[in-house]
Amino acid sequence: MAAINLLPTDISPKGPVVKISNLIKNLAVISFVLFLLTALGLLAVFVLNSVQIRSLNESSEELKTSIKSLETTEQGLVLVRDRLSKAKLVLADESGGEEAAGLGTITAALPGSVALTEAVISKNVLETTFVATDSQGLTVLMARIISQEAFSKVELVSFSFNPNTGYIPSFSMKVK
Amino acid sequence: MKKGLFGASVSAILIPSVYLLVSIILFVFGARTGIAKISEQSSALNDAKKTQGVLQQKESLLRQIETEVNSQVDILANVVPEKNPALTMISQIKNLAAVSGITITTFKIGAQNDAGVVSFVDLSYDADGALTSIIPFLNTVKTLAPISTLDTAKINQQGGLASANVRIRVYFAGYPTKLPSLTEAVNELTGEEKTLLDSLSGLSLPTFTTLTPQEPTVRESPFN
Repeated sequence: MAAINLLPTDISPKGPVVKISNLIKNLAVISFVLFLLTALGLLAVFVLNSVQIRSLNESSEELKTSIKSLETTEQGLVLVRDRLSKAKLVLADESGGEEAAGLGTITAALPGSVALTEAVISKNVLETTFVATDSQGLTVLMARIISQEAFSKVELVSFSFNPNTGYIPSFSMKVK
Repeated sequence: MKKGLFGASVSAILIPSVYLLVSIILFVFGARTGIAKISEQSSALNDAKKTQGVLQQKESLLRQIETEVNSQVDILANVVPEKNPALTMISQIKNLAAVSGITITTFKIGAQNDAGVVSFVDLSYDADGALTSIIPFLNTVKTLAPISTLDTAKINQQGGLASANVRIRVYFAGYPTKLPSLTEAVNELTGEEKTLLDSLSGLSLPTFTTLTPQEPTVRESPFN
């Protein structure tokens, strides 16, 4: 079918104008189609995300209800962790525990001629006084004290001899 | 005629140009708004995923430890009690002394100190017995719950009988008052915490007697 143009031919647009006009028309159509496609794509993503978020929120609500039912267990865990941190602080505190253990090692199976007469245990220091009725016992005592690895410093504070009681050495020992 | 010619040419370009412009504006506006919304939604989606992950992990962990946590609480609530444990410790020391053949003559409870994160009370006692019993006794006190440290000990031995004046420090601390937020992650105990828990589980716990309530009875008149 032939195209009908009722406009006078001298006022209708000519060559380059028609080309530019057609080009702009095509661009307009393309950009509109792009707009539609983009809008549709974005809408689809939006709907998908919305559905996913709703599903996640529903699932989270269920989990929250379940966690609330386990509140006693959670309280227990919080308490356990809290007590452990407090116990750790206490155990890091200085105490005379190592000194007492060291005294135990020194006095364990001492020869019969040696006896502990006095001991003072405090934080980091152990002061002891022994009585040895003979020099052999004194030697064993000295050897035992020196061999104690728990003590970093052993000081002979005093040493005396009494003919009635024997040798009386006093030591001051420091834990590492 | 010239004007008409100019008008037709301009119309031929102007009208499609307006369409193009409108399309471009729509595209830019739509794309910008849409992308902003999607980006906002993606952020919400990520948050929701994260929250769900945390909740799943928390729920799973709580179910996993549900059975063991009660016994751990029982142990640790005795190891570091909530309130001043001086009387409990006296009972523990007395029981230990009876087993060790030690006689405890006096007990003295000092004022409690609440200055630090962990409160403590000093407890002094005098113990008599054989030296071979007293020194191991001192070393065993640290295996008792509530947790304590040896502060000072003065031991004298005369004529085969030793006496010791001992001061220990017994610790306690108030319970936590807040639970973490529902959506806050909860982790299981670390290796270090588990090791500490194991060593604390070895402490001798105090035994408590629960008295059963009795109905009131008719009191006999003391004047009959």
